[in-house]
Amino acid sequence: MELKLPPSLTTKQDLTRVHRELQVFNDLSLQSVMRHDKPVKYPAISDSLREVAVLNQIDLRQENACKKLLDGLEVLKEKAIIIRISFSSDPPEEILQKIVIWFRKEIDQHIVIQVGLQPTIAAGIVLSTPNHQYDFSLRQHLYKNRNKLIEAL
Amino acid sequence: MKSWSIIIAAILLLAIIAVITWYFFLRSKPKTKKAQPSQLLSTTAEKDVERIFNDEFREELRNRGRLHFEKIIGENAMFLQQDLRLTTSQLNDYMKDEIKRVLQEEFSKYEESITTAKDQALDTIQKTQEVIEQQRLVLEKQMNEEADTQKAHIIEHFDKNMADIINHYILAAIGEEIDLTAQLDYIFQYLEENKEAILQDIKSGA
Repeated sequence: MELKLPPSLTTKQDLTRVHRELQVFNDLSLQSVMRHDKPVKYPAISDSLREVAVLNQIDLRQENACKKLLDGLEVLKEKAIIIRISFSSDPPEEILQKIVIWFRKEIDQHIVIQVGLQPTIAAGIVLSTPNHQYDFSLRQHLYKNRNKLIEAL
Repeated sequence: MKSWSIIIAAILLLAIIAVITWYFFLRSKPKTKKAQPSQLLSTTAEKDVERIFNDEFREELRNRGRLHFEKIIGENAMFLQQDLRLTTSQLNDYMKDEIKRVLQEEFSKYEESITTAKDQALDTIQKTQEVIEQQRLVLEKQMNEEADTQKAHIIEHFDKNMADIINHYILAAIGEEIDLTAQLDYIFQYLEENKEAILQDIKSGA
């Protein structure tokens, strides 16, 4: 099953949290079914889990579908590509989502990010892939253009 | 003069004593025999001698001898004085010449020694100056090299850290006011520029 991830699931922690929530949801639902509750009692779910379910068109009340989603999230938890992005300050959620959307659209749809803080970069980001690091910070920009700075000085 | 007079007087006194002694011995002998002609001749001669060499004549001889002796003594004294003066003068000249020669030799040696010492001192000073000059050049070269190295190091350090320094000041000045939303275009621009590289990197890493 090829899972689609909503923009709200930006980090690996989000994946883990949704996976755990779905597991609890599944357990509680199963327990309610086994108790023959009428109607079956489903616990409340978070917006993130709901978005995952909606995006992947999964009815969480169906045990098999729920099980597949759990497996898919389990796989993603282990194998999702993680990109570390360092900011100069704590980024707002919408910024992270925009960046994640771009990555999932342009690079890989299962990418999650790990947010870091580097106040010294002043502006921009420092991007770390599993094999490489890309410095898109103001510091690097200044360093690349130091000849112009020397001329200006 | 006095000694000569005493000597002559003593001689005359001895002669008188001899004559008196001879007279008494001859007169006291008995005239047993007749006087011989030779005896008479000698007696006569003695009488004539006594008559000729009387006291006045002897005194005159003594005076002449004294004068002659004084004259000779004076002449000799004068010659001796002249010789002494000449000898003294020659000795003075000789001493002057010798002293002058010795002094000139000593002065020459001294001057030569002074000249040698002076040359050695000048040579030593010149060598010392050359060594100092060489050391100065070496030190100057080292100082220049050190200064150039230090300058290059400072410039390199400044070049290397200039971006950080400016970044630090920018961060201190407006770091808190930079909005991430405003940076999004900049970030996406860089992401777009490096999209292929990121893609390749992730594919190869995966």
